[in-house]
Amino acid sequence: MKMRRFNFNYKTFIFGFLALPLVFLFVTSCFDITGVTQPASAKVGETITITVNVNGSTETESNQNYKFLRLGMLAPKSWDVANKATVRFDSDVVIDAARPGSGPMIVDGGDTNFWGEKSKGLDGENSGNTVVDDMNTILDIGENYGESEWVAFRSEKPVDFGSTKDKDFTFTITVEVGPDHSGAQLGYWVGSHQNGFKQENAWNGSTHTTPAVSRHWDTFFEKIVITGAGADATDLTGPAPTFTATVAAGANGYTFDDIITINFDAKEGYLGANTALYNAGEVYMCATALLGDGTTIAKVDRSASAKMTLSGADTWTKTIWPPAYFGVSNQIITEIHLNFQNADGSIVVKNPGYGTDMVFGEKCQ
Amino acid sequence: MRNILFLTMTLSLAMFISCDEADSFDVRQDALVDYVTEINGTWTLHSVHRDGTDITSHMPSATGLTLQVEAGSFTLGSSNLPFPTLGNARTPFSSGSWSFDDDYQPTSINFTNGTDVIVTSLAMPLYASNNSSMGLTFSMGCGATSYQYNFKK
Repeated sequence: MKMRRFNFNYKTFIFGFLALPLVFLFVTSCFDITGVTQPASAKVGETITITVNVNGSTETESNQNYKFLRLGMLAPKSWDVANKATVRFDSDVVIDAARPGSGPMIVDGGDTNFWGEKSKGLDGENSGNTVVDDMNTILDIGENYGESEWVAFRSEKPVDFGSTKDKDFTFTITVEVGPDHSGAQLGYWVGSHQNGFKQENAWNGSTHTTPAVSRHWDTFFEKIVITGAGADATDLTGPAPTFTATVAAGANGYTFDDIITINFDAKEGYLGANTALYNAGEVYMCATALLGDGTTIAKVDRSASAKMTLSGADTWTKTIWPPAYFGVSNQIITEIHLNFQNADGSIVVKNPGYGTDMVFGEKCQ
Repeated sequence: MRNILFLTMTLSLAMFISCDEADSFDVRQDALVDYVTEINGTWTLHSVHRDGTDITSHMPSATGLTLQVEAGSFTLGSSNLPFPTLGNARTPFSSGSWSFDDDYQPTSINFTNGTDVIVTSLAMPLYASNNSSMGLTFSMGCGATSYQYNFKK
């Protein structure tokens, strides 16, 4: 058996030794979101402008920062941010027309063969996924219960911050407020294609004033109140809605002048658990009507007319014509508030997670 | 050419020969008279459909609704069901006058309290007299949601 002799190659060693600092120059860059200017409230259909302030640090004074900037935005899916938002970034750096310090951001195309759109996971290695897929897998959705999504943008051209060690720049997002939700927590992620989602502790020499999640990227979340979203709108920062109770009529909806059917599912409690009326022998609907003049009429006496009919496995139903049910004439009913009780009222089921009556408004297409 | 001429003349002759005087029929004198549709009486609700779905059994008191129709006037019995004249989009009324859109071949009934006129479609044609079924089709609050009430007498 012939022993293989180890050949020490001086050229390889010297090249590797010299190249090591260059590698660091490429990989060491920090992003820190220093603040977000976002409206506290906005109306559905309104176009709002959001500013994300970022400090970028190259850690070393080099100009080896030829990178695509990336911005992620977390918003309700109904906002359709990918199609309805425009984003740009701005800084006072002007190095080269091919590597501008300002310019538009475009929706990441998801081309995993293009070096600028390859995604790197928490370990800093190419994940083989699209950026937006990794973004929605790796990042959380803040205080939203769901129905939100991260949308990935990248700078149209690679960006060069030059030899400036710390550089402040801004992302400006213009987006239309979408329907379906009365509140949400919007989120922002900033990074670059170079390190993607690589998780690494902050650099010791960082000048950042706020701790970043990773030295290579940062996130920021901010709540927004949304008006004009309709009675069915949900607050994404509240408990997830359940299907404990539903109101239905025809396929196109109802007003409270219609015959409506109230369904109560005793199996749909908080976070998927059964309600306290699971396996109840009788269920009564306790309802309060809110009238157009602001007054209310309550029908919470658990009388025979409030008794619900068992329609399936722990599902109960009641069909009413609200004006007659509440004894309302020549008045508009704007909301109906519901809770469900057993025969003696010792068990009361309200909106799971909220502890208040379930509120229903008119829904007519 | 001569054959064509001969053939044309033969066919023409055959067509003229085949013509005959139309048959005549005796028609009853009263068959050509239109009669005013008559629905007077007390109608009781038999079934309720919402967007084509029978929901009668979901409303135990549904069949309690009565519609008293007399010459030119109507009166609704008390009920916990909607009726076109009871919507809260206007001042509701449970009695008043009525008329067909066409007294002979009606397709709708106009209910009025003297101020508001509520047009309600007939779900099925009516006979001139001796009607025992009558269907009304209408919408209430949400215009896209339709109801059909089937009355019997």
